[in-house]
Amino acid sequence: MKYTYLSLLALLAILSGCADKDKKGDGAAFGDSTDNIYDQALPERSGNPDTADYDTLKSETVFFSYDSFTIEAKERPKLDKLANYLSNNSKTKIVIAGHTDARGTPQYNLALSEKRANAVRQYLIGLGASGSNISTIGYGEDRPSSEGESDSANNANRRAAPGILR
Amino acid sequence: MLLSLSMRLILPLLLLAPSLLLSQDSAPVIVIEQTRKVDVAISPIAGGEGPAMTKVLQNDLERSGACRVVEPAAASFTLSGTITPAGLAGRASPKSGGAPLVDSSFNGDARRATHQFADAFILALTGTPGFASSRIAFASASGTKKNSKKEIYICDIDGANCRQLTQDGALGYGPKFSPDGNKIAYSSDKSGYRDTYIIDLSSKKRSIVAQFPGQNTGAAFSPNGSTLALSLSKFGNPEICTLSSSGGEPTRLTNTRGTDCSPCWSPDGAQIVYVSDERGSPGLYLISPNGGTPEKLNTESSYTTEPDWSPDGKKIAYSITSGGGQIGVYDLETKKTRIVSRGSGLESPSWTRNSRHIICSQNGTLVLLDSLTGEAIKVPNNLSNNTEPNTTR
Repeated sequence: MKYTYLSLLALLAILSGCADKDKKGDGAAFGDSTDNIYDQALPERSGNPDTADYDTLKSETVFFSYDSFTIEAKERPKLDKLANYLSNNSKTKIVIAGHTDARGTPQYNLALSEKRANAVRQYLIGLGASGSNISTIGYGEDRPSSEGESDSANNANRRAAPGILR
Repeated sequence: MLLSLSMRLILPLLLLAPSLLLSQDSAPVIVIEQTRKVDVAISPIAGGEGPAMTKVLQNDLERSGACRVVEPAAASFTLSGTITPAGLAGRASPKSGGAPLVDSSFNGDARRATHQFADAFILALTGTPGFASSRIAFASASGTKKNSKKEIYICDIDGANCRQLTQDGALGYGPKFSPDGNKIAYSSDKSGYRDTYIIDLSSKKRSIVAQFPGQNTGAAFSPNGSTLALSLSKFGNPEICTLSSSGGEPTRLTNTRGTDCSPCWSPDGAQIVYVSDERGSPGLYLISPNGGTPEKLNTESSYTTEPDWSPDGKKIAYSITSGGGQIGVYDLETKKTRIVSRGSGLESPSWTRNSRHIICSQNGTLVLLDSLTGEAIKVPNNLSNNTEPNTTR
């Protein structure tokens, strides 16, 4: 009984979240702290993110602004492509690996990178992808794609990279 | 004068980096407080390891911030000791005569017993516990930047007895001692995902306590050791949770759209301070371990992380990233903040027992920071990229 009630609440939360999103239209970026999107619980783990194939889907890597997990409009076409890939490969399990630049402190960067990965995952779910096929991991500042702290290195490192789990 | 100097330094930086404009700090620059030091002398410690332990004791006393080591004629107290098979017999006698301040035997190897002697003297002299017998756990990175490994290490607070605890070949983070100092919680992605482990230092066994979907990190023991507070993302978002330190199902405390991490308990166990960016850039919040509405702390800085509650319960130290890497201290009674460090590149503060000194990292080196004077002394070791130090209490 209690369970049903909670499910109903969850359903209402999702519905109101959708209505809210519709009202905002394109004005609000997904992942805005004002955006009321219902969190999607993570799936049981599969594969090993550390040995995933990050090359195949490399061009779908999403980049972020400083200290932000908002998916910017210019990055969204990549996720349309990624969602399309997932619908054509419905048995493929992927991991979204989030990263930060070298600024900031270790634990916050871990959490921020995880949050970036989650933002991508939830966006993909919003496009119809199956959440059970998408895991996440945050590597903080410790798996840079570009070394150093120049602006270009920082821009390249603030990212969420899709990897195929094997 | 100081303000105008700092403005002259800051203004060109602002012009170079517009993003800094958003993160200008208004917390006051460091306040230098002259603290009175007691003059003490050390008679050479007798016994085989005596000369080496005399130096250890001198180092301990000088780092305590409470003493200045001088010639016997000028000293108010003279410390003497003998290395024994069981440890060290130590005595601290006042120049004025009368009863010794310390007259005790300390057990353990010579170094440990000497640190305990120093702590007993500092406690008797100041009424505040010394930290010479404390240890530090930390992470140290090796390998290339793009594919580094971070292992967990432990050392004495003066840098001696440094040893590697983990051989995970993975990224290890955030070692935190249990209140009794016998266990260390940390997180590692050695399974491929970031799980939380507990190392039992006496049995040398490791167990896994949190391996939920997503990340399991930042675990901190409650003051009675029974519960962990940590950041879990199994809900689809990093949230602060509590969990029995033997594992089991977590209890969720926060429910925000933001990134919640780095929980730390108050010494009485009644509150948890943590980091959230739910209102923009990361700041510090208080919440009850039973949940409820979080309260934001006004630290006057725009990017504050890594809170650590002082053992006396009165202060919270934290990292200020927006200032280029400083340590701030929030006073819970006056609700005022102070930047207590100089230079840059400082992060990850961990209070020592006296609620005055702080272990932190500075550009990959461990340092002992005196929050009253701003002085930072290196804690030497042969490792590079030392991060996230935590001290025993």
